[in-house]
Amino acid sequence: MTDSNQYQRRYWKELFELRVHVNYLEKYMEQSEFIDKFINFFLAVTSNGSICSWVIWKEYNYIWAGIIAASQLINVLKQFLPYRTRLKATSGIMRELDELSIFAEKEWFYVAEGKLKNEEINELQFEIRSKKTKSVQKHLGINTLPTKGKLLKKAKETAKTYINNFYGE
Amino acid sequence: MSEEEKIPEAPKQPASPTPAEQPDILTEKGLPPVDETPDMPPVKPPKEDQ
Repeated sequence: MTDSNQYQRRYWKELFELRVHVNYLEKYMEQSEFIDKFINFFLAVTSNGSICSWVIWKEYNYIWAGIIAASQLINVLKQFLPYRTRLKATSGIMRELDELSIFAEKEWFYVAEGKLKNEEINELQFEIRSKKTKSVQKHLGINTLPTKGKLLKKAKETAKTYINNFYGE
Repeated sequence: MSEEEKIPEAPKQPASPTPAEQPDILTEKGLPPVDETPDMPPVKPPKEDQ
């Protein structure tokens, strides 16, 4: 026995997965931005604070000089840290996947209302998947994103709420 | 066949790591797989089935 809705079901899965990935990238970006801001704040405090402290407590000059040197080193090295590359990549992918998600949701109407043939639904699903893969490859290149379980869980919850609000009975 | 002519046994494949041993998942596409999907809302049958 064949499932007459199998292509609509697959399309639905694709739609949901896309929504989860948009949310996931959004949360990933937020986290990377937080790390970036934290490092910048830390560097500003340590380098400037050490200069002030050096003026006040001259007897600990080697400590303040060490802190200043370390903060300068971090400042140079931070551009090579993986989160910086990921921040740029995730921002690009997220924008494109968000647009793709809107397109997929718009097309869902035709899929759900039985206005498309199975063949057309299948083509549409693979068109979306192909665009998604191209976007990821374009921005991420040879890099990968390590999976962050907590962020993925939150992304799924947000997507479920979104789906319930707009597609729930 | 002499002892020297015998074909050496191929090294055994290492057992695949158990889920607990696996490192962070790095998917090919860089995005993690989504294992659960909410139920699909009611839909009309596809065009050719009507």
